[in-house]
Amino acid sequence: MLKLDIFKRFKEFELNLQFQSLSAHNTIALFGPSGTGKSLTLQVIAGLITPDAGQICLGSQVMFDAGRRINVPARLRRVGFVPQSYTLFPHLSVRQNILYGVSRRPPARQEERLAELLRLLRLEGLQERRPAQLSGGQQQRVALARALITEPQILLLDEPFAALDSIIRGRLQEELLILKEQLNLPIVLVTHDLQEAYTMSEQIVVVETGRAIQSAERDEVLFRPSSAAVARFVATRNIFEAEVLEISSDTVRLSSGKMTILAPRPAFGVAPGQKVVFCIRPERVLFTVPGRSRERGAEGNYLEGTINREIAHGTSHTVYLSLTNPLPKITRDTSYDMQVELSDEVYRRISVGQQKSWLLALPKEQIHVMPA
Amino acid sequence: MQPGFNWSRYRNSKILWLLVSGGSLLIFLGGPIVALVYRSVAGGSLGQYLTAPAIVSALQLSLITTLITLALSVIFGTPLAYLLARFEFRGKQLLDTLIDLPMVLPPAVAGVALLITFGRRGWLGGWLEQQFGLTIGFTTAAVVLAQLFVAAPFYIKSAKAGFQATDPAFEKVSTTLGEGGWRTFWRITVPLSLPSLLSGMVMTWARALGEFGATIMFAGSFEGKTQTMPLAIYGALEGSGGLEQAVTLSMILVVASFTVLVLVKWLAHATLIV
Repeated sequence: MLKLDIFKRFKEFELNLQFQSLSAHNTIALFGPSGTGKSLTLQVIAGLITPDAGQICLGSQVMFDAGRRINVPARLRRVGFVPQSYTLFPHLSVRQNILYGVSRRPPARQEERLAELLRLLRLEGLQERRPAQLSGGQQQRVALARALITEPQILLLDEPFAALDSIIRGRLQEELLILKEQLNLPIVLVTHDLQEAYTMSEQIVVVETGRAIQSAERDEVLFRPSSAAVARFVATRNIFEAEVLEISSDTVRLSSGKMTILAPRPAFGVAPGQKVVFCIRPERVLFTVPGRSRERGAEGNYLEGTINREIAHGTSHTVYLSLTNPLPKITRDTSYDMQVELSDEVYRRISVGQQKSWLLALPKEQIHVMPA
Repeated sequence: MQPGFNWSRYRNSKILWLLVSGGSLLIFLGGPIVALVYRSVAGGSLGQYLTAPAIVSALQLSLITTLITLALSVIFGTPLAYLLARFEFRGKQLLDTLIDLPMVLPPAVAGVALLITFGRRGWLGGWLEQQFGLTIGFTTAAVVLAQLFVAAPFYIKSAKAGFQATDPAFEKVSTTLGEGGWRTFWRITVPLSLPSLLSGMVMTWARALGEFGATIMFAGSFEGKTQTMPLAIYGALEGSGGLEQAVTLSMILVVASFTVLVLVKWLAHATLIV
């Protein structure tokens, strides 16, 4: 269980971050663009950077409390810190690297733990190699073993897959997921990759310029972002301005541009005339087939559009459309009005490539309303 | 000469002029060394004077004083080098320049400066003599101080460069693995910057071994007490030993210097002992 509320002023940057883990053993992804203070936050948790103010609690232990003048030094925090480039000690063998943190324990116990970790991380036979003689994936596993042998109470991973090429990245993500289940340890990982954040963790903390702008379960962040900024970071793409017209028990009617949009009533309080922002993920926009019954759930959210650009990804297609009655986008990008992501199967089944004009359906349940 | 080496290719070309000018300087630089080696070995003076009492005592004194200088440079220079490599503070540039200064200062100036500080009528020297009856000037201690003053910056500079080249991330990881600052320094920082530390030590030792100007001004040239090898060479030329004794001493220093250079070059290549 990690609870963090920190403030730290740097030369041209301020870290002002609050979040806490939603359950004891979950993995938290600190997600956001590069240079927003994610790695710094990790170092603050590890005790390598001392905040100016705030508290850090790990389990029942207070690691840092500026008010009570508590600051547990890094070497006593029992955190397993794995830096971005793994930072294996180049002058030591794999074996010496892994045993580094337990050199003062009885040799028999050292050997026992070493054998266990070599097996768990499939490093048998590599004990005498130098870090320079290992592949990227092997280096990562040695760095994990080196951190795990000290029996840390939390594992901190800084961009764990950034140093690897995309072919082995996927495989190592799967490996780490399996390892995660075996370890049953809380993990905080830093990433600027949305897919990685979602795959690896149960909870996502979205970080923008030193602030946590949303901290929630991964589906919450992906499908119900708390603000337009979060929506942009999680690649929602279709984010529009609107005004509340009417509110019923579970539905709000919005006016956006010349259109009226029906959406689920948001969790925050709304009043008629209030400015809001709403979004729909590109994968959730539907192409309707002319002549067939209208898509269920769309409840009147139909928009006419014309395809002006397509990008094929092999298993999916990104289609950009101009709308007859454009909705006011929050970004200034005017090259398209709506972005739709189609699986290749759907794309072929309804022959999207054959025709330019389409009627799009925006299912009501897929629309998410946020404060403006 | 390699077979097929074609002189006509070089005639009328710039290469010829480069060879002529470079070659003459090479002869000028190498000639005296060759002469020294030839004179000492073929002339038989090396065998004859190597065991002369004045030479033995100069050799002993040089070894002892330079090793003490080296030890003091490492003990006091290492923390300073680490400070300069890892921390930013006001006046760091100035401090850096001050440390470099003894390297470019003429040794005679260093001698005068030491004399007015540690000499009998100097700031500290006068006080030490009054309070404790301690005299530094013209003693073996003065030899060490003179060497330390001119040679320590070589170690500090090299150690600083070594620490700077060692990524602090290694030290950070070591801390999170439960090792404190001191153990991290010994287990991570020192091994990773070892080539720089060693080459700094070698250069400091070599500079101390060759120290002449500051020593003769601040410590004088007393056989067995302050007369190190370079001073003995000078003394031999003027005194009874004559040229042959000077040649013998010089030959010893040539061998020592050559070994030092080979060591430094080898260390520069051996970035890590893998």
